[in-house]
Amino acid sequence: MSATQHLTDGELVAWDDRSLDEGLGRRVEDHLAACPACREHLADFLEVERLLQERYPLVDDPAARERILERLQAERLRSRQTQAAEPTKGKTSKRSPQSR
Amino acid sequence: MALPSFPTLSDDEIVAVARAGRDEAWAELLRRHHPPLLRYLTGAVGDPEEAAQLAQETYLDAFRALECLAPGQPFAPWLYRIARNNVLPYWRRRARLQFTSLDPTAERYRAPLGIPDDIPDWAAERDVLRQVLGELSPLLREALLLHALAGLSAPEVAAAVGIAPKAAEQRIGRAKARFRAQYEALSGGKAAELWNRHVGHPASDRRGAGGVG
Repeated sequence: MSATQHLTDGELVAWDDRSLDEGLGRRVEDHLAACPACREHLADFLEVERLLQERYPLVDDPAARERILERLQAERLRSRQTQAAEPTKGKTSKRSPQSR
Repeated sequence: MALPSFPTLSDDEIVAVARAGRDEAWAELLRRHHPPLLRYLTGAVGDPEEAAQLAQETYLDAFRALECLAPGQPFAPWLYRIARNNVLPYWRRRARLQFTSLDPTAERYRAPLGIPDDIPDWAAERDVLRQVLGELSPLLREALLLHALAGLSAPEVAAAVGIAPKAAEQRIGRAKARFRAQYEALSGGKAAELWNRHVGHPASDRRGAGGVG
């Protein structure tokens, strides 16, 4: 990035993520302060996010979480039963080296 | 032993408790991660019921594969990597249905290209959104939704889809630029009007995201 070069899409995303190191972050901010085109591009990016987030709001569904938890508990129970049954099963069903 | 206070624990610590077979740990993981996962999946598939089903399958898969999560490996990107394995086949099935259908009336099941004037703006806008998302390539759509709806940072998106962090930044940026252009192109003045209505709203609710200032 230089004073005359526009910011890349990736640089704008990284800046918005706060994932740039301090030096690069400051250079991006300096560029944004001086470049209306990049400011507009960044505003467009933020609007894309906001549009999607408003249309698909964050919703907590405790009943759905409870149903999933019950499925996980049932899965754990099934897994324990399978493990408990395995030693015996292993002895009786072990294939001989010749079996296919 | 006293029960740990789950809300104060990190994801890593809760995963360690989950590995020990404690269901309370999964309850906490669900409390933290189910809302953004459901939001991501709803955006990805468009149908809330289908999204709820995919969320359940994702947790079951995560539960069965927990041993594959390395100690210290962040839980959220790993969870979305599993979700991805459910979403991508869904998209492929949908794409095949659209391409292979010989029924001319099948078009009605797709999002409309035009926006009738006699439906409320919010409904029109939702149709445009789905249409624009559908026009993005699956990889761009995925990166955009993981970033904007799941709230993953670019490095987390990178971990979820298996690419380098820089590549994720570029992919998310390209997706946003393409989305913006398609949004305008698909519905012209109507979209611009709807778009402008959003300018000036509060900052994004993505983790770590901030406004322009």
